[in-house]
Formats: sequence, structure tokens, C-alpha cells
Amino acid sequence: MENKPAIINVARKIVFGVTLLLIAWQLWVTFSKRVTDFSDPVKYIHQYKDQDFITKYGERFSEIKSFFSHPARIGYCSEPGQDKPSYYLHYTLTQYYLAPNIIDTRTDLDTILYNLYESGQLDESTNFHLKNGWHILKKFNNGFIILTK
Amino acid sequence: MIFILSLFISLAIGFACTILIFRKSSEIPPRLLLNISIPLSIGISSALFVLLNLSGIETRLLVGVELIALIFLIKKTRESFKLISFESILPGTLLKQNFVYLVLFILYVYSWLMDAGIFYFDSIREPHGQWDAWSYWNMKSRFLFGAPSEWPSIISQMDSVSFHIDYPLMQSAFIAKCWILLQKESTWIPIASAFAFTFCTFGLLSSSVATFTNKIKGLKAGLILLATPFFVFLGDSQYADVTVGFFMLATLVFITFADKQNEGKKSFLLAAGITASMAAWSKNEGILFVVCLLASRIIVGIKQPKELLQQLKYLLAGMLPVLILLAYYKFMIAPPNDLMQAAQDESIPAKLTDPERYKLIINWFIERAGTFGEWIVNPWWIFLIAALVFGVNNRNKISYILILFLLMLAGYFYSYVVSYIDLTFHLSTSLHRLYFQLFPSFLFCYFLSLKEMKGS
Repeated sequence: MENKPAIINVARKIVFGVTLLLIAWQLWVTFSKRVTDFSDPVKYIHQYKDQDFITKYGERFSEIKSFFSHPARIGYCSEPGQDKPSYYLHYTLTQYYLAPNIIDTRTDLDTILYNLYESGQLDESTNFHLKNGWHILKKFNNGFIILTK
Repeated sequence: MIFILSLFISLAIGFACTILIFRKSSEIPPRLLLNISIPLSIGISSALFVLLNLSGIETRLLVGVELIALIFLIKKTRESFKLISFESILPGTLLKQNFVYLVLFILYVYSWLMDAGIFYFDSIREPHGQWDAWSYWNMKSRFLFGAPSEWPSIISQMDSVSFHIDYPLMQSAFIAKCWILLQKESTWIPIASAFAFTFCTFGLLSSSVATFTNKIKGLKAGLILLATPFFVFLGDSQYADVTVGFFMLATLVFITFADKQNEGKKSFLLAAGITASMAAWSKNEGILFVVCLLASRIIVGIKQPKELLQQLKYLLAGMLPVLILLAYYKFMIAPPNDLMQAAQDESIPAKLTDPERYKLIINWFIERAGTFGEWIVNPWWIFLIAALVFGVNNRNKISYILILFLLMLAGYFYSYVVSYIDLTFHLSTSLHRLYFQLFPSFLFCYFLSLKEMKGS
């Protein structure tokens, strides 16, 4: 019976030590995965700064952003046949960069923005809007085309 | 220039408010002061900005209002500055500590620097944050920045399902305020804000556990969070889960102060009310936290109704200003929440009685607990073994936190049961983040309940 507290104390020290070792091991594993980043941070910054998809995507908006002087509601059209996840990604990015304008998924508004990220071209001979009363207001040379009624 | 001035004033307000809270204590631990005051200043600044903006006051004038508030606060707290115990952070004090403390301290500093490096590298690589950050939080900042006087009418017309416009404004409003004063959109503002919340969570956890127990336990608690790989990723993703988690932790810290000290009890309860409302101002889960907090305090304190009513009075008084602002935003400006709207539709009874949904959710809850935090070894086993070996007690009066956690988990569970989103998708994209909102608070509660090791 007298040994019980001593055993508990040893057990506590073991648990304390094992926890510390586990933390140290975890820190080592985390550091090992990023060791190349830490070894040459200047190279890392040169390699990755402003190279992410969202920043690159945003470069297309510099001209079109200044086109809207007051917040407006604009209809949105994408590449024909674009799959759902791609459509949603491009649409959300367009809303992100063109805020405080509202980019509406409806395609029957007076002003429509075409975001033709891949093709960059609008097929004017078959386009629904051009055949139904809309005309091209401005063509930006990066896949953005604004149509209005 | 005006931006730097405003930032300085905001930080000073947070600092002075924290000193005001602790003014009746015998001393103020400087690390605790620092780690509470920075996020608190961001929260106050965000709420003030929205309040004045909705009142039609220009953002530049906000700096003047903040300056007046600061002068008032300095007058109130002038005498309390001497309570800050700088002695505890002097290098001489550090060298007097025992070997175990020094080993832990070195590990703590190493992991803090490593995490700061990882945070910086990730922020260089993804300056806009991950999906939720740019498409919800930072996007809303762009509306506030681009149309400072028209944003309420604009965002009320937006699609809530795609952009979750009803999400509280804390993060978005603070970023927008800084952008307006800077007169440009800079990705460094959300990065800096996320850094403050992430690293102040480490600091607050460590310093509060050290205050209530001992320095070794404080360092261990902080180290576990610092060593959890997913936590720093969640922080540099600029998600609001870290923000809401910080304010949940701060609330529990203030309530523990209130429960342990008679001096300044009212100030601590008021402060707990403010930080709880800041949690609600950060994310919808914070609203659930406010409800569960009040419920857990009522359950634990029901046998002493007089004392309970006193507590609730101060908690609610602290909560009300920001909750009123939040309610105004939710009911008068933002479109209704998609999950709440869907929770009222006709399919709910069928969902509530579908055993397959319960089975799937329980499986995910277990699976996510198993892969928690991307540790090499599941940390729950260590927590369990340590609790068995060391033993636990309630000397810090934290039993209500267990009830709070159970209620929070039940709330999360219910939101999945009635969710209109594809259940597997919903669980896979959010459950791990919900766990992380509670994780700093869990560590706080765990280390406070763990019995002391002889000689520690």
C-alpha cells in the first residue's frame, strides 16, 4: 500500500515525458515537411509571391473595375458548356473582384458580363443575347465582354 | 498616416479596456494582458466601425471618436497601470526557473517561431486565404470598402446561398475599416488580422492556464496547440473559426476569473459577456455559444438562484451592445441564413426521423476525432491516459464547461441533421473546423481540471 503513491508518481512522470517526446516528434515532423521553405526563404518568396491563381486571376480585372463608376447589378454568362465547379469558381471570383457591383447569375438583365476565360471570344453569329436585342458595349482584350440592351 | 494613427488608437483602447477589467486584481500578468487586448481591440474597432457607419458617420471621423474613448479610458485606468507585473517576463526571472521549465520554454519558443514561419510562407503562397476567406469574409470587406455608404442596401439584395451574406461582420468590417483608412485593398490586412487571432490564441491559452495553475502546465497547454499542424493552417487560411475560437476561450478565461475571485467579479462577468458577444459577432457558431453558455451557467447555478441572477445580469449587460448590433444586421440588412431557412421547410420531420442520417453523422464525428489536427499520433489517447494517471478535479469550478461543450456538440449535431446541403459534403468540409473552434477551450478546461504533479 505504501508503494502506491510512488508508483503513481513514476507513472505521472512517464506520461509527462512521453507527452513531451510526442510534442517534440510532432514539431520535428512538421518542420521536416517545410525544411526547404525555411532553408531559403528569399527563393521561396521569389517563387510564390503573387503567383497564386486568385491573384493572377485578379490581374484581368484592373480595366473592367474602373468601367463601373457606381455599384450596378450585372448579369453573368460564362464559357458555353463550362462544367458546374468551374462555372462556380469563375463566377465567385468575378463577384469577388467586381464587388461592390452585384454579379447576378440571371442572364436576362439589361447589362450582361461575359467571362470567357478560356476562349476569350464570343461567337457573334450564334450568341443568344446578340440575336435578342443586346449589343456589345465594350470588349476587353482578356475575355471580358459587356453587353447591354 | 491616418491608418497608423487609427491602428495605434484601436490597440490602445483594447489595452486600456483589458486593464480596466483587471483593475481590482492584485496584479495583471503582462502576457495575458497582451494576448487579450489585441483581439479585443480588433473586435471593438470592428463593432464601432459598423455602428458609426450605419449611423452615417464617415470612417475618418471614427478615429476622432476612438480618440475620445481612449482619453476617457486612460483617465479611468491611469492608476491601474502599476498592476502590470513586468517582473515575470524579465530574463533574470526566466533563468531562475527549473530545468523542466527551461526545456519547455525553449520548445515553446521554437514552435512559436516555426509556426510563425509557416504562417508567413502560407500567406505568401495564398495571400487571399482559402475559399471561405476570400469568397465570404474578404468579399464582404470589398463591399464595405467599395460602397461605404451604400453597402447595406447592396448586400441585402445578394444571394445568401452563394455568399453567406448573413455571416456576422467582425472580420469583414475590421478589414474594410483598415482598407478605407489605407485607401486601398491590401491582402496584408486580413493576413495580419488572422495572425493576431491565431497567435493570441496560443498566448492566451498558455498564459491563462499558467495563471490558474502553474507555468509548466501553461507552457504544455500552449505547446500542444502550437504543435497541432492543422491549427496554424486554419489560421493562415484566414477562416473565422480561429476568431470565434479565440473569443470562446477568452469568455471562459474571464468566467474562471469571476468564479475564483470576489474582487472584480462584476468586471470579469461583464468582460465575459463582451467576449461572448464578440464570438457571436465573429461567426454564427458564436451565437450558439452564447445560448449554450447561458444555458450551462443556469444548469450549474440553479441551486443558488440569487447568485445566478447576479451573474446573468452582468453577462447579459456585457453581451447586449454587440448582440443588438448583430441582430440589427441579421434582421434588417442581411438576407436570411440559408441553413435556418431550410430548417423550417417540410422535409425536416423526415430528416429528424431518418436513422441513416444519424448513423452517417456519428460516423463522421468519430472519424474526424480520430484524424484530429493531423497529428502523427491521435492526441486524444494522451489526454485520456494523462487524465487517468493524474486525476481530475473541479477546484477551478469549470464543470459548467463540460455542459457547455455537450450543448455545443449537440447544436452542431442538430445543424447537420436538418442540413439541406448534401450531408457528406457538409460534414467533410466543416466538421473538423467546428472541432477546432472548441479545441483551445477544451485545452483550457482540460489543463485546469488536471491534478497537479507533486513538485510542479
